[in-house]
Amino acid sequence: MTLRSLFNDDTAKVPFAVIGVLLLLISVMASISLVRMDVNMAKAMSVRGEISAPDNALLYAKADMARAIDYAGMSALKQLGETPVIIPDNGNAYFNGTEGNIVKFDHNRAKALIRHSLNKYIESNYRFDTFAIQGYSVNAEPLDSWDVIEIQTIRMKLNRTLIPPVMQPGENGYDTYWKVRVPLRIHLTELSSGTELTASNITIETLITARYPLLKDLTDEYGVRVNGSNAVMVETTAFSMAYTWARGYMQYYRNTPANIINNTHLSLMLNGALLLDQGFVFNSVDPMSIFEYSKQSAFVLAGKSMDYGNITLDNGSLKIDPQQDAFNSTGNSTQAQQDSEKAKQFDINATPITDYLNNGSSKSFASQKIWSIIPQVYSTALVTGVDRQTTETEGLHDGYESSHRVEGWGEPDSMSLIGTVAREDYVPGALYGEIWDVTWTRSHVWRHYYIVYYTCTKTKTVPCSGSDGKPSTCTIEYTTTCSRTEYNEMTTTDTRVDRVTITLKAQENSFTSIPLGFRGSALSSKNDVVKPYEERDVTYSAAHTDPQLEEAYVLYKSDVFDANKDKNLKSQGLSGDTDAETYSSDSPAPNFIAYPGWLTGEAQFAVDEITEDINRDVHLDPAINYVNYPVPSDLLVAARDDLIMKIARNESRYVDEDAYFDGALYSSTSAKVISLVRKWYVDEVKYQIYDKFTDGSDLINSSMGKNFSDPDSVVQANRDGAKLLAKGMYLPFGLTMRAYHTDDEGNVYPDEALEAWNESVTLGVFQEPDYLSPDIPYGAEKLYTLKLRNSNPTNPLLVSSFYGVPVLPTLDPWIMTFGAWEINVEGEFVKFEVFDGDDETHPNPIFGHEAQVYVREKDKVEDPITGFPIGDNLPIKFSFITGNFIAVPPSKLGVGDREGGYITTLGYVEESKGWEKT
Amino acid sequence: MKRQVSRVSFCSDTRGFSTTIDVLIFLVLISIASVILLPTITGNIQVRSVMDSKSQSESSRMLATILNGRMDEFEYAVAGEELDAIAGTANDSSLYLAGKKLILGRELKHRTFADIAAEDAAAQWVIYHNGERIQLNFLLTNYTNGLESAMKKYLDSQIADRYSYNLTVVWRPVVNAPVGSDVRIGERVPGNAYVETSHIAMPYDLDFSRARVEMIVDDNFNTTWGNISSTFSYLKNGTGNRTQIEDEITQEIFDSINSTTDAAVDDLMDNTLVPVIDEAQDTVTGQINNLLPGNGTELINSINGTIIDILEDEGIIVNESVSDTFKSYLKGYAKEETRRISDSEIRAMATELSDMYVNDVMTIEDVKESIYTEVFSRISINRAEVTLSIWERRG
Repeated sequence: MTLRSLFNDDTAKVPFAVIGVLLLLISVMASISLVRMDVNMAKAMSVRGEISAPDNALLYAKADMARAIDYAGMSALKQLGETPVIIPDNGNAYFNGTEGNIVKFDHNRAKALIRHSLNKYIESNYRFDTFAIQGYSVNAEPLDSWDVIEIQTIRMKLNRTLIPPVMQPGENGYDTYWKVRVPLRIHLTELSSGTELTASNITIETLITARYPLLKDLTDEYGVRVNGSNAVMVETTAFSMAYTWARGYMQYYRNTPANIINNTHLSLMLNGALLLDQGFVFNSVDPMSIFEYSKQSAFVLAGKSMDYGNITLDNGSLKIDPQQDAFNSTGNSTQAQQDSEKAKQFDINATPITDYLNNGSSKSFASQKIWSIIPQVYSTALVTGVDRQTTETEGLHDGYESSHRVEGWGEPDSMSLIGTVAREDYVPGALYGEIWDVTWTRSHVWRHYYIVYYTCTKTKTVPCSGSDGKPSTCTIEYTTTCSRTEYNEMTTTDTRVDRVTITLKAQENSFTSIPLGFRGSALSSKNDVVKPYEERDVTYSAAHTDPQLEEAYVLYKSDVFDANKDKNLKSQGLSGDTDAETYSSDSPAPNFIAYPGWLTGEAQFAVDEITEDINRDVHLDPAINYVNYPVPSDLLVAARDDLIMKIARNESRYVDEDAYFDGALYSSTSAKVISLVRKWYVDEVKYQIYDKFTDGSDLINSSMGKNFSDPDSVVQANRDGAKLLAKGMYLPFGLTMRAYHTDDEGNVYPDEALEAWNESVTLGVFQEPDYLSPDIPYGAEKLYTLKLRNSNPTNPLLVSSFYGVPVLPTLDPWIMTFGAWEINVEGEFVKFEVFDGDDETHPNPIFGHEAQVYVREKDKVEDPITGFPIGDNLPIKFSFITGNFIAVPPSKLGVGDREGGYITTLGYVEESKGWEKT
Repeated sequence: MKRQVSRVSFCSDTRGFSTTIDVLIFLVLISIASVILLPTITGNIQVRSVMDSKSQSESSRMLATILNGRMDEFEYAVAGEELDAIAGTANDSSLYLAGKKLILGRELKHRTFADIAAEDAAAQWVIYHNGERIQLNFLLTNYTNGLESAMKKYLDSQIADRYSYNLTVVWRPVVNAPVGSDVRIGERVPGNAYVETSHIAMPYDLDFSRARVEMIVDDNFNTTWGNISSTFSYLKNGTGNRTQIEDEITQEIFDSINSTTDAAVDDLMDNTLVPVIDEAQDTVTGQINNLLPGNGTELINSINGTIIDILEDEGIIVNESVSDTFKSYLKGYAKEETRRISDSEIRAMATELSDMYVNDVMTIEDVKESIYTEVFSRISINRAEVTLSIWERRG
C-alpha cells in the first residue's frame, strides 16, 4: 500500500496489537529506568550507613574506654581500701606537692594505679588494631604520666536510721564518690587501606562506682570519736555511770559490793561503748562482736552461757540495757534496783540550813539576830518643841519721834498657862504640850529735835596784794546766819507678850535597818508603829502587855521637858526644837528603856514556827536526782534553786506580815520586832541555802579539778552520758542509711534540682579481736588490745573509816557525800574493716561481685607498681580519761572502793596488765 | 477518476473498528505491560532501603545506649541456700539472717548495662565440652536471671513495639580454649536481622600485653636453624629443604601459640579462680567467716565440691585442685583444637611468609610482626564481644 493509499484508506482500523506491542516495549523500558533509579537511590542511602561506621567505631570505643577507666578506678580504690596509707613516706613520688595532705597523697596514689591499670587495658584492647568495628579501628596511646588525671570529689550527706541524742556524726557530709577525667590520644584508622583518618585528643570523664571515699571518711571519723574527749568517752561514761549508781547506792544502803568499779565490768563497758559508737557512725556493728559482747555480758554478769542462735535482733538491732546489766552485776539485781530508786528520792532539803541558823541555843544566828533587832525597834528620839508668837507694843510718844534709849526686857512680868496641846498619834508628832502667855515691859526714852538760827561773825580768806605789791591772801571777818539743834525728850513703857506653845515631840521611833542577804538590800523603816508611846495589850503565842516606848516618854517628860520648861518659856530667842534626847533598850542610863522580857521568846517562837513550816513544806523536786543531774555539783545547784523557789513561793505565808502590819503601821513595837524577825529569817534561810549550796557545788568542782586533768570534759561527758543512757541503746547490724548529694558547702540539693539524687548505704563492720580483753593478750605479738586503769581518788588512803568527801561538813548533818572515780583507757583494734554492703562493685569470679572495703591494721604498704614502700597503715588506737560521780545522803559510811587493786594516796587503783608493756 | 465517498452515518459506520482478535491481543499486551510496571510504580526498593538504614541505625543507637546507659540499682543474691545448709541450726537466728542478706545480697549502683552483662559473663566459667555448654559456676543463676529481666525491660521499653531483639555477650579469653562464657537475651536471631557488634572491656585487667606475647614467641621459636631471623635467613639463602624449613616454621608457630595459650590460661586462673577457690582469700570468704566462724572456708569447699562433681560428670578427671584441673584440661584441649582447626591456616601462613620474605616483599621485621600478630590475636582475656541484633516484628 502506498502512502497515498494509506491516506485514502478510510476504513480507519486501529492496529491495537501494534499499539499493545508498543506499550509493552515502553513499559519495559520505563520499568528498567525506574528500577535503576531506585537502585541508585538505595545505594545512596546505604552509603550513609557506611559513612556512619567510623562514627560508630569512635562512639563505641569512647564508651568502652569510659568503662575501662571505671574498672581501672575501681581496681585502684580496691587497692587503696585494702592497704590505705595513714602515714605516708615523704620520700616517695606520691608525697611530692601534697605538703603532708593525706587526701592529696591518696589522690596521687589512685592516679598512678589508675594509669597502671588503664594502660593494661589500652595495651590489650586499644592497640594494634584490636578494637576494630565495621572496618575501622580505634587505637589509643598509653598514658605517660599519672598527674594528667584529674579527680573530683562528690560529697553526700547521710540520713541515718539510728542517731545518737548527742554528738551526732557526719553533720558536714562525707566525700562519697570520685569522678575522674582522663585525657587520651586516639587514632582512627581505616583497616582496608591502613590509612589513619584522624588522631585527636579527647578527655573522658566517668564516675568510679566504688564508695571508697565514704568508707574512709566514716572510718576516720570513728577514729577521731574513739579518742580524747569525744563520743566514745561520753558513751563509756554513760555505761560506767550506770554501774557507779547501781553499785554505789547499793553499797551505801547495804554495805555491798565492796568495789564499785572493777576492770572486769569496765572491759564490758568499754566494748559496749566502742560497739555503740560503731553503730552510731556506721549504723552497723561487727556481728561476731555483738555475739561476743552478749556472751561476755551473760557470763560476767550472770554466770550464764550464750549461744549464737540466742541472739535476737529487734528491727535489725540488739537492744542493750547498761542499767539492767549494772543491777545484775551486783549479784542481787532486785535489791540494787530498789536502792537505786530510793536514791532517786534523796531529799536534799533546807533542814541543814534551818538547823544551822536556828539550833535552839542562845548563841544561834537567829537568836543573835533577835537580840540585834529589839533595840532598833525599842528606840526613840524625843525633843522639846517651842513655838513662840511675839507681840510687842510701844508706849505712846506722840511728838517725840526719835528713840533715844531702851532698857532690856528682863524677867517676865507674868507667865500664865492658857492651854494644852493634844497628843498626836503620828510620829513625828507632839506627845504633850502647853500654851503659855509670857509678858514683859520696859522703859523707852523718846526725843524731839529742832533747829535754832542766829547771827554770827565768821572770818574768811580773800586774795589781796601784799605790802610788796605781790599777790597774797588776806583774812577778813564777815557776818552771817548760824544754826544749832536742840531737843525735847519723854519716857514711855513698852510691852511684849509671847504666846509660847511648848511641846514634847516624838521626832523618830523604831528606826530599823536590817540587811537582807538574799534580797541584797536592807529592811529600813521608822515611825511606823501605832501609838508607840502608850502601853498596848498584845497576843502572840500568849497574851502580853507591851510597854512599847512609854518609858521613854515618861523619862523625857520628867527629866527634860518639865525640868527645862520655865527656861524654855522665858528664852525669848528660842523658837524651834531643843533638848533632843535618844532612848533605846541598848542605851546606857539615863537613856535606857526596857523591852518586854517575853519578847525574845515570842520572836524565837516565830522562828521555830517558820522552821517547822519550811521543813514540812519544802522538799526537793523528785526530778532533781542523780539520773537527771549526774554531776553532783549540778545536782546541788539545781537543788539550791528548787528549794529557794519553793521557799519564795511560800514566803508571804511564812512572813505573815498582815498579822503585824496593816500596810502602813505595825500594830505595836513588839509586833514590829516579830515581823522583822520573820522577814529576816525567811530571807536568811534563802540566802544561806544559796550560799552554802553554792559553796558545796564549788567544793565538788574543786575536788574534780584536783583529781582530773580535764575536769570540764569529764563533767560534760557525764551530762551527755546521762542523756544517752535515758534514750535507750542499740547495737545495729546492717541498718540502711540514705545518702543525699550535697554541694561543696554541704547543703543537700533540693529535689527539683538536676543534681539531686539519693541512694541507700548499708555497711558492714569487721573488727579484730571481736571482743577487746584487758586480760588475754591477742595474736602472735601478744598485744593487750585493751588497757584499763580505774581509781577512786575521793577515798584517799582511808584516813578514816569514812568513804568519800562530805560536802559542807560544817553543817550538821552535811549536805551529801560525794564520790568520784577516774577511768583511764587505752586500746586498739588489731584490724578494723568496713565494707560497703549496698554497692558490691568489684567483680568476683565466683560470687559475682564483692564489696569495697576499707581496712585499718598495722601494715607496711608497698606500691604494687614499683614494689617500693610508700608508707604505713596503722590500726585504730584509742585513749581517753573519763570519770564518774556519785552523791549519797550524809551519815552511814559514805561510798567508795573498799577493795580491789592497790591502795595509794589516790585511793584504790586497779590496773590491767597491759600497762607494764608500754 | 475520483472515488466516490459514500456517506454513511457515524453511528453505523463500522469501518474503523478493529477485528476482535486485534482487541484481544491488545488487552493481553496491556496486562503484561501493567505487570511489568506495577512493581516499579509501587517502588518499595527505596522504602526498603530507608527502612534498612533506619533499622541499622536503630541497632547502632541501641547498642550505644547499652554501652553508655546506666542502671541506678541492680540487685541479685548468691549462694543463699548453700550457706543456709552450712549454717545448720543457726540458719534461723536473726543475727545470721541479717548477716546473710548483707553479705550475700548484691547490689550494684550506677553501672552501665554493658558492665553488668560483662561481669555476669566474667563469673560464669562455662566450658564447651563435647558440644555442650556446661556452666561451672552454679551460683549465678539469680544474677543472670536478673540481668535478663533488666535488659528485657529496657529493650522492651525502647524498641519492642517495632522490633524483636537479641543481645549476646560472648567471652572467649583464649581462642580454641573451651572456656569462656556467653550471655544471651532475647529470641533466636533470624537471617534478616540488623546486627551491631562492639568490643567491651572485661573486668579482669590482666597484664597480658603484646610485649609479653612477643617475648613468649621469641623464647619459643627455635628451629634447627635458630630463631626467626636465622631461620628465615637460612630459608632465603636457598640451600636447605624448603618444605622441611616451612614445616619447622609451622611447628614453631604452633608451639608459640601453645605456649602463649598456656601462659594465658595460667594467668587467667591464677588471678581469678585460684585466690577464691583454692586459697579462700577473697573478701567474701572473710566476711562469711566473720558471720559464722570458719564457715566461709567451708562454703568455698562446698562450692569446690560441686564444681568437681560437675567436671567429673563430664568425664574430666580431677586429681588436683579445681584450678589445676581446669588448667590442665584447658591447655590440653586448646592444643588439640588449635592443631585441628588452624593446621592448614598456619601452614598457609608459613608458606606465605616464606614466599614473601624470600622474594623481598617483606622484611624480617614484617615477618616477626605477622607472627606476633597471629599469636596475639588468639588472646582476648580483657575483652568480650557484645552483639545486638534487631529485626522487625511480624504481626
